[in-house]
Amino acid sequence: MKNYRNHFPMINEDYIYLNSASTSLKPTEVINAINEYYSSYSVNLSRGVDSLSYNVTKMFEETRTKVASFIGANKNEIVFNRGTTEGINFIALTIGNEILNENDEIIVSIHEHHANFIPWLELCKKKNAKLIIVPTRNDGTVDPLVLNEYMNDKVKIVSLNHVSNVFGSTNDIKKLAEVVHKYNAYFVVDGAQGIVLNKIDVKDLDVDFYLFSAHKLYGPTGLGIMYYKYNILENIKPLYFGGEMIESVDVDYSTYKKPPYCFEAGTMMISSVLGFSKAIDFVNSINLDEANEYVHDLKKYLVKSMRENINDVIIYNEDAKSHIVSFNIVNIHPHDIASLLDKNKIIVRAGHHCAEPLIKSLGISGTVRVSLNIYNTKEEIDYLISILKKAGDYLDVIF
Amino acid sequence: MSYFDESMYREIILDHVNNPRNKDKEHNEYTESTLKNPSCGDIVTIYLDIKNNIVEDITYNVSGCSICTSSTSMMSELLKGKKIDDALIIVSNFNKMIIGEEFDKEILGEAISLIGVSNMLPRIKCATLSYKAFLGAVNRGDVIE
Repeated sequence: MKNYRNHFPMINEDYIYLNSASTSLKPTEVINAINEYYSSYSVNLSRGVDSLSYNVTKMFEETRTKVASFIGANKNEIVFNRGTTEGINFIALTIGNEILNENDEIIVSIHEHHANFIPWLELCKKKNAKLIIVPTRNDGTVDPLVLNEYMNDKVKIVSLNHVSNVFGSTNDIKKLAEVVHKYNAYFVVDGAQGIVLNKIDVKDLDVDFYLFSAHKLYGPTGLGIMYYKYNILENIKPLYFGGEMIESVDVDYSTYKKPPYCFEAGTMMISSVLGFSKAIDFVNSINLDEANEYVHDLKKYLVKSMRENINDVIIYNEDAKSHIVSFNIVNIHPHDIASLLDKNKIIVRAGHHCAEPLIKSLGISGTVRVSLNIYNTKEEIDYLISILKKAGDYLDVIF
Repeated sequence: MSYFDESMYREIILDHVNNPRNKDKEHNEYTESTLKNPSCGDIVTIYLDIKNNIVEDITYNVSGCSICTSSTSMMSELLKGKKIDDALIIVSNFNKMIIGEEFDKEILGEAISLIGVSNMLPRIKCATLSYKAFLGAVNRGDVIE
């Protein structure tokens, strides 16, 4: 595969970055776009008659079109927000709040990130509805046949991850959507991990909502994308009110723009959107199949190396075709492992990964998570293994 | 730190990790305080039996890394049987040690073995979690963070 490492300024001798599921590194193109905005045309959108503002607005809306095309959506089906978490909360607080009644049901899985669990938990509490946790296979995925057993006329929303941030397993979104729609419920998909190195076609998948965050796909922080089927939110009252989202305001009334603009109140994250435009260009320049295969092969190499070299290692998702490996070493706390790795300039994540229900269901306090990307190498895996072999010396970190 | 000190301190910490003192004992009607480090998930509940301003007994539940669990064990040995005022002085000195300030090492017992945590900023919260929970239990049974 082509070597992409030189696109990423943070790739250097100082650190080995194995935490891309938390946030990906950023290519130079993205960083330059943000710098260029702030140094050359750092104006607001649509709030002036100057040509700078006109051009920035044009670039901003072109990015919306680009993002829509990237996932097979229409331009007016893309809302820019602060991230996946905000997007899911938005759905719960708007359409969720409108359609859910007492004793209705929302279905999630135990493998959900807190962002795709707590908004539904809170909504169900508020409405005296039921949060149903559909059982998963051992690999963490939801079997459409099992989901079908849990569906009924009371189910209003099913919200599942596309790819688990702990196990890295991939749900069959298309088949799950078919099941959900047989019962006229809405299907919300947390695509925070699913967007990474996968070609997404939201129309083909037939999801009602698909949410992801720019910063996990080589883009800047502070930006999320919510795809929605237009008719679902066409007549929904906005959640946030303020500048830009209005048509007309007077002392005793206000009218609002059509979606998506009525859902984007206030000054938008302009630099992040412009930066993300370059991230999309970068992803479009990659052979995705090749990149996927490279990362999955790296994962397989890591798992094989761990099995061969690390005593008492427990790997939770050995067979998942994924960029994520979650593991523990018996009698060594995951934080001790992560701390030892950090001392040796290797960055991973350890703990509950914002998935406490899952971690508790496994009867453990957490895992160490390695998450890979196109800028990682076998040599980095070899070095990781060499340090993990010395995991028993975890107290080295304070001496 | 001399080689001898380091070797001894490692042994002490590992001993407390593998053989925690005062853990998971009966605690009927003890004052309790729970504290969690939300960023890492380490969680400790301290139970205190305080009579006549003396820490008559101390026990705890803990789930956490080696620094957190060994620190909690060492703290329980240090503070058990102490007057509250003396216990608070020990807590204060431990906190000073952990953040690299001058401290009275004579009163810290085996907790001095964690002095190296002062060079590892992300682990300071691990070492101090149980001490903060102790302060919470002493003050009102409320958690102080």
